[in-house]
Amino acid sequence: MSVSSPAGALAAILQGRKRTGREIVVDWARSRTLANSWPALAGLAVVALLLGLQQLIEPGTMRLLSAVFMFVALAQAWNIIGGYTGYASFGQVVFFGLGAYVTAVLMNNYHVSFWVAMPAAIFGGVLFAVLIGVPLLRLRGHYFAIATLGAAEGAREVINNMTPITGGGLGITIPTFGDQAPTAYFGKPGFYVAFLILAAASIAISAVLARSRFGYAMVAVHEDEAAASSVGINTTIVKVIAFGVSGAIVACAGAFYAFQQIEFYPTDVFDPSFTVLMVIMVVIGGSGSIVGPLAGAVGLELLSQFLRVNLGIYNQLIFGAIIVVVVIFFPQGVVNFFRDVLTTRRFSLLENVRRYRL
Amino acid sequence: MIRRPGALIAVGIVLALGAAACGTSSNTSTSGSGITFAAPVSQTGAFGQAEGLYTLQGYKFCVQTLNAKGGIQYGGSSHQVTLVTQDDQSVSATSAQIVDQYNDKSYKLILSPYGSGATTAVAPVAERNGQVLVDSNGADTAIFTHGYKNTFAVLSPSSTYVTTIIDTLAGLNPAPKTVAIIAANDGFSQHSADTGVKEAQAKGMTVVPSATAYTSSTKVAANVTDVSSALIAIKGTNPDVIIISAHLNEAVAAIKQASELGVKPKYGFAATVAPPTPAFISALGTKSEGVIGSTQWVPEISASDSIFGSAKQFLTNFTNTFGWSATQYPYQAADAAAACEALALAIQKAGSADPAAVRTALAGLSADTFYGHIQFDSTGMNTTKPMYAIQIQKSAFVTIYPSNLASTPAIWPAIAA
Amino acid sequence: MTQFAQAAAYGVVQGGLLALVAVGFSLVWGIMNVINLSHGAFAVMGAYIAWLLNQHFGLDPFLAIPIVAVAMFAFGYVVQRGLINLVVNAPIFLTLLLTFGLSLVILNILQLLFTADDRTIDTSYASQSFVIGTVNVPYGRLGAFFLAIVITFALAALMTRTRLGHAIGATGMDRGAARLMGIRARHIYAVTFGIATALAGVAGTMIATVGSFNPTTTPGQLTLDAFVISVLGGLGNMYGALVGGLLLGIAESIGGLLLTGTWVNAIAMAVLIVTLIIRPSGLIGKAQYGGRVEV
Repeated sequence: MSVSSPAGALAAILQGRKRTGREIVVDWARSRTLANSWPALAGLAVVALLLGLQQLIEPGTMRLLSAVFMFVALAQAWNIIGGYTGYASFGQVVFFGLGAYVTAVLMNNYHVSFWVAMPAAIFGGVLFAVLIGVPLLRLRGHYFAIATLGAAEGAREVINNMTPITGGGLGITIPTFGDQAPTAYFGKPGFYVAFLILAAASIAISAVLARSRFGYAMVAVHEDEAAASSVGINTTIVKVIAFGVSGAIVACAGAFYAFQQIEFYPTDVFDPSFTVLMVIMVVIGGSGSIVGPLAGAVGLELLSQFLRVNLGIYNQLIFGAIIVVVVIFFPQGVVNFFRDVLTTRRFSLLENVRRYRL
Repeated sequence: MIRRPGALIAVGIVLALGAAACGTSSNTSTSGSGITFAAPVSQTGAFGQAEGLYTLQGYKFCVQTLNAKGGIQYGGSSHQVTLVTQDDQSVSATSAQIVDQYNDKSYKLILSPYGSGATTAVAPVAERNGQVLVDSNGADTAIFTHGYKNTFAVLSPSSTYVTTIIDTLAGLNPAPKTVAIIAANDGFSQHSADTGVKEAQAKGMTVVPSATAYTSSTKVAANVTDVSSALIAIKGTNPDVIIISAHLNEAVAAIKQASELGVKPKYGFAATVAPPTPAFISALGTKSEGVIGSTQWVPEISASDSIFGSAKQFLTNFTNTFGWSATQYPYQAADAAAACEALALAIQKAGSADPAAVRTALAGLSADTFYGHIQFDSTGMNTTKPMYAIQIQKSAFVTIYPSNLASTPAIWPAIAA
Repeated sequence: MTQFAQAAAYGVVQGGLLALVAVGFSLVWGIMNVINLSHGAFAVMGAYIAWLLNQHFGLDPFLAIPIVAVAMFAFGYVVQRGLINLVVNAPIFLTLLLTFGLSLVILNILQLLFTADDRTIDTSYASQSFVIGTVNVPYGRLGAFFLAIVITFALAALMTRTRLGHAIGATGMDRGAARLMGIRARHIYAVTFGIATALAGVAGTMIATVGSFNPTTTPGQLTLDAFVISVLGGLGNMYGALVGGLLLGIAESIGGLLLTGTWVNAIAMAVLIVTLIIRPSGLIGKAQYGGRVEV
């Protein structure tokens, strides 16, 4: 029986052996139908559309959309560790700051090109994730949240004090003018494309992970870690990999952000409000899905821009009030709520309020 | 029956994005003969309602006064000025973003936000976009080391803050022999302390506990309310004067905790930004008496111009407009008004509002204003205007340095033995 | 040597104040499993109330404490009953977000009312200190230290000797069983939150007296300190908060002496992480609370 015959997979199972790599790929390709590949095709179409849109819109909007794309990537990244795996990290911004500082230090102190600094930043993020992940991921729930928060605050303080290398409280600047610049500044169109690709990649990674065996393992760890480990899932490896992937995406975003800002201080890139925004976007959008964090990121970033431009001194106040209202009325997330509404045809906000109250 | 609600929602999101992208109309800059000054100012956050407010009031007052006098005259006609501001929430990154957005609306004439941090973030953006940035309240010398050509600061740079205090102290009787310097961990405070230490040593004063302590044992985190570690490091060294090179929070905390810890300087306290800020007196009450502060502007200087009149007239008109007391005035507003005035003068000199022409006019500007002399060196700093010193006496700012401006003598020692 | 002794003494009295900040936070977390991110905001609210009383009526802050406590208790009761109750059963992120949004609202209102200026309550005695050798012990902070001890013991007595205390403890251990026993859980939760809010207000009053506060940077710092101390001492444990506070105060003070002052926060974080890794239930905490951490 040839290895690429239609009954390849079945044949392999009947013969009691694992499928070869080629068999796996062929089976995957043959199993693609319109029904299960349309999300990916739609995604590609959207990305193409947004790339084309870039020619039409003006620079200010490009900057706004770049911020939206960045938060889409950040929200997806948080969702991987917080939504799927259930380990709510409250210090995810630590990877953002690390990615930003690795990039800035390499470019400023050693005149390294951005295209070398960025992969270094990603690598640094993964390394740090493994380093703190192994001890911290043994903690659960609130404790894990606090520990990661502590790690973020601690990292910021350490960088704040390493003045000779990082500039400390005096800030760091990436040279972008004249022959000082190791890489030419991207400009708004460049960053638009960069963040768009990052957002698309994060959604793709999220989707692939979610539908893979690894994704099932993550959800299993979330639902019942003891049971998961008793069926043979190595929960530590699952958690650390999820943490690492999440950290890598966030570090990459940090690297791009650093280059975009050119000049920043530790408090800027280790700002806990980044983490809060990440969490809000995922929770309000609806955790545990791809669309939820996407909706949350887009909606909240546009909302906060709108508030800041139009409401002047009341913008933070209104923003806080909106958070309170949305959390009370849409505890499962806005996207999940509308999903339920569409499937059950019952639209009752009061019922929503009654869900979780005592 | 909708089978894939997630799909519907995803489509909705994309439509929303598209709407946001296309819907954001580009309202081009004011048409006609009007000129727009654009400024990101802090209205919320750490500087909101305080230093950000003073800066905003300064800009508003300047634009009001200009327009009342018929606007900026050039090319045979008068041009009214419009001030456009947006809240940067006291976050430097937001300031930079706002200035970038201003560029998309073709606002090329930019007045700085409050603070060295925000100004440091905004300067490269203005440089890249070809906007002209006039800096009112960002004194850190580091801003001017990057070779930016479009940033001009009207205020005296950070190198003068602590040096002015040292010079003031050297002229008092008894002159202190030992000084301790507490400096916050930010560019402005550290650089001020740098030059301050050198000046102290030049005047024969000893810096305790050591000349580099302000980078280590007497360095405090920025924006904290607990400086006890720095004070404990000073305890036992018995300085004559304790100088605090930081902003409002740290200075208030330092003076309050100093008496708690029994760290009493023999003669008195001095600080850079905090004492000449109205909030300092209201925060410390009686403990603010006798504290010396370096300030960018005092109303006693014999400077005047055709727009604001004399320095005293500026003070009277400004405090009447915004409800300040004439003895507790925010000098940051004077900085802001001066920056706005410099921009106006440059436009007049250039005969157009074109950013490149305005930039050239600013580079060659040499004007005497209510604020003092405004002239920029090759890096964009104004090194022709000195700083002054005030002392708080009976909850009022009293100018004590230079001596030709001091109508009332300093109370020295400021601390009862 | 003087500096070391001074740092140690200051750290102890500072620790008392920190414990006062943390004890309410720890109580709420331990009993209700709610992390109250607006704890710092409540403390600053209490500080403003005391400051207003002092500005307009010249009331001494120590005398203002009962007024602040009652006012904040009422406020906390209403907030819990009306707002936080709605998400008590929800995943932790939701309570975190709710309290975060609430803190934004409260702090921005305070900033609009009072501006971001630093405030402090000026008293003739708080910054004075008595001297032992070369070490100064400030009266204000010492007063706060004793207040913290008194409150800790009072709270502990409340918990162990009164019916209300037993009800609170029972509800914290097993809410379902407590309700079956006739305990009105909603009311108990609201009372607990009210007590915590009152304590936060009192802590804020003390901070205003011995130091300064503002609505932008102070709340975040206080909430962070409360986190660290609660974890250090063990959730829901009154004595734990006291011990944790003292430990943190001394560590920060001595650490600030040996390294520069800017490392202080990093030290606090290091202490936090090490404690979490080695002994998640805290130094004195009971495992029962440590166990019930899942959502």
